[in-house]
Amino acid sequence: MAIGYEHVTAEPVARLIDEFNRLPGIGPKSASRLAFYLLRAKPEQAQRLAAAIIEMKEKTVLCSRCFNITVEDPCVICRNPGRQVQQLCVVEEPLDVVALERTGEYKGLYHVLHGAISPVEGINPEDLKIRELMDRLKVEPVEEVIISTNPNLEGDATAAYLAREIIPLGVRVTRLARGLPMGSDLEYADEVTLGRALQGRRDM
Amino acid sequence: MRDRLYSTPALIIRRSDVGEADRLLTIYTPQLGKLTVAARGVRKTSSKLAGHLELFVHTQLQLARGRSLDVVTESRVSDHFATLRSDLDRISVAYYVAELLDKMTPEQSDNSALFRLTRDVLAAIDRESTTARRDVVLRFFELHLLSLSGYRPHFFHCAVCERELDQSADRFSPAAGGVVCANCVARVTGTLPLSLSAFKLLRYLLRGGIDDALALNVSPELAQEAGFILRVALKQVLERELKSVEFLNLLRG
Repeated sequence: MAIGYEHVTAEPVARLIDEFNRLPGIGPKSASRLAFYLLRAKPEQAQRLAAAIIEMKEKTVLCSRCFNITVEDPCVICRNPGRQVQQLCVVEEPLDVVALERTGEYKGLYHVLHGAISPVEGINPEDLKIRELMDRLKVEPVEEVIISTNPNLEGDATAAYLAREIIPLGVRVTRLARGLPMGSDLEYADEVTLGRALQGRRDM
Repeated sequence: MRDRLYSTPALIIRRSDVGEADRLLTIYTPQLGKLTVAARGVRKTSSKLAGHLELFVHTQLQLARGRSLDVVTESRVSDHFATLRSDLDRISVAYYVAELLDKMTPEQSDNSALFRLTRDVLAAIDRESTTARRDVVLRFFELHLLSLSGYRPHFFHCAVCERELDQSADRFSPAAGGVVCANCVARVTGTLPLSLSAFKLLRYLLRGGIDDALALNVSPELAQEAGFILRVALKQVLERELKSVEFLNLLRG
């Protein structure tokens, strides 16, 4: 992608800018800022960055059981005998596992789908790790599948599709509750969220 | 100088994530047609706009003119279509409607009839409880979308010789853009068979409004035949397959 630095910038710098510019959330301005920072940084720092990128690509694999990113297969969570094998939490992305683990509330296992159904982008069920999930349910003693896809249309569509496939197997299917985020304001809540928060209210 | 802020009704027909927490929205408006606008910070859980900018909502938006893209500052939802988004079949139909609208329309070309059509169709998909009735709605949408985009299929006059058609007409020509009469069939290639009931259904749908369409009792086979003809006609115009069709077909098995 030509971003206009080629004529005045030395070729290797322009190439790095170009590579940074391909990353999500980084535009041409941020890309050149990062490149020029590294140009002036100590050689060791640039080496460390380059090595970290290469190591990440070479040393990580997907866990063959839950499809989370891991160094050793199976991953630390799947290997941990302390986790409850009766509960399986289905998430869209590896980062969602990190978010759920931070809560410290969940002791079961995970399954990472690597995306959500989005027909307009051409992402259909067969493009996700759904067949792998169904295979796990056949062999593992799972009693409850907790669907933790994002609370947006793609996530809800994925949840509805999974429920349709899993419920006939006689496994309990639950969905993360939807309610009001911490520190928010009732006045700004949309009707769908507020409606579901009302339906899912708790005794105090 | 133009006002910095302006307000418009809008249907949100596509979204894509950009940057840390922003989204680009493709919206369809009555006066400005299809637009791409930016919604800042809406992927954060603390965003007060997020729930009001979901896919397929019908909303009143306030926008601020930006250098390249206009930015959403407020959203007051007129209709969430809550039933639609809790049902897999309806979701797949809505995705198809939104993708069709997106692919059939250029940016910033106003067409308020198309806005009303899509709004009414989404409302009907939300409201109608059987797939058979929603399929009729879908046929109505496909037909009128073609019509309002300037590709009205010929169902009353022969697509070749323009003579008025009678009930003997039984071939549809995607290339000619409509039904061809018995005299002209030999002059066009690649025509498709069209049953008399499908022919009558399409004529009726083209002439009436959405309420007339919903007053009909259409068998699934007939809706399917009409759907096949319309998909071929749409493909002729779009020159490609829609991505959301695959999911729709998958669910319908």
